[in-house]
Amino acid sequence: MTTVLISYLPLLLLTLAAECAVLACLAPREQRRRALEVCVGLNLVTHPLVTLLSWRLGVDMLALELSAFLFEWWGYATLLRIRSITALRYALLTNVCSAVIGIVIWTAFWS
Amino acid sequence: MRAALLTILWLPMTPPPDMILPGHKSVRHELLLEWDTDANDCSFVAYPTRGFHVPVEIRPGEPFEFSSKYGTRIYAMPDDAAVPESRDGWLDVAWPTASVPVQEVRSVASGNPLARVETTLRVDRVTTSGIEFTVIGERRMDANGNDITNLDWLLLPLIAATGAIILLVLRRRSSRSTTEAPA
Repeated sequence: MTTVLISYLPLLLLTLAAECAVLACLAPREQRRRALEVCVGLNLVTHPLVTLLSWRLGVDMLALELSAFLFEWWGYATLLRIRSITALRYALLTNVCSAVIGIVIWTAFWS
Repeated sequence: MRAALLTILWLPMTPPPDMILPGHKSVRHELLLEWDTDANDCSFVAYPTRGFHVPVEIRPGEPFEFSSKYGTRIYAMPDDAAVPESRDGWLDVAWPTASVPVQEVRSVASGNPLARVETTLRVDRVTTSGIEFTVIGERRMDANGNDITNLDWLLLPLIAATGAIILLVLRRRSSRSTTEAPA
């Protein structure tokens, strides 16, 4: 289990750090703590599942990212009880930010 | 117009057959062949039917590379025969042959610890029409040669389950605060 753990855990932590940082900037102060809790919960669901399906079964990454984005959009809207358009903004900006970081890391280390 | 746009969007998602996509890394996939040296009066040669056509003489239990892309076939070469030196020589060969019964793992997503795959095949029977194999095992390893088993992947569903529990707790807390608010 350590092999997968060593490869996977830094990616998860980096995603959580990036998305939480973006959300901390976007969410209003009175809702910030709850928004961060929801962000952690949503990413703990989507990130390992996307990774598992991509790494183990070779499912297309773009389709998986899109599914994760839609799930997170729904998650923010439902759990934070905010307007759909605000939830869309949260999901879009957090995921775009973590995707950009992912591309930078891929270019720097693996390309 | 819409069809053209969809085609443009769809194109990058369809992986070309012979190149490693950005965001992916190559994997070394090797085969190990086992056979009863007493029962078979032949040895085995791997030969790609496309590409550079370089034959590989197979030694029992020794890993060798193959390629699904270049159509590697395994030939049962009689003990008194020699490996043809030219490509034309291979055209006249009438030895029993079979394609490799496993699909090559050529690449995986970057970040995936998988670096090497080793598939073990056993020769069950050599007949005039071909060679029968049984896949007896597959090892998946990281760059340091550590085995990656199915159990290793259990970690990811466990993390996802933890996330789902957190979301359920948050949802319950949210609905509780909503029902308590009017009071």
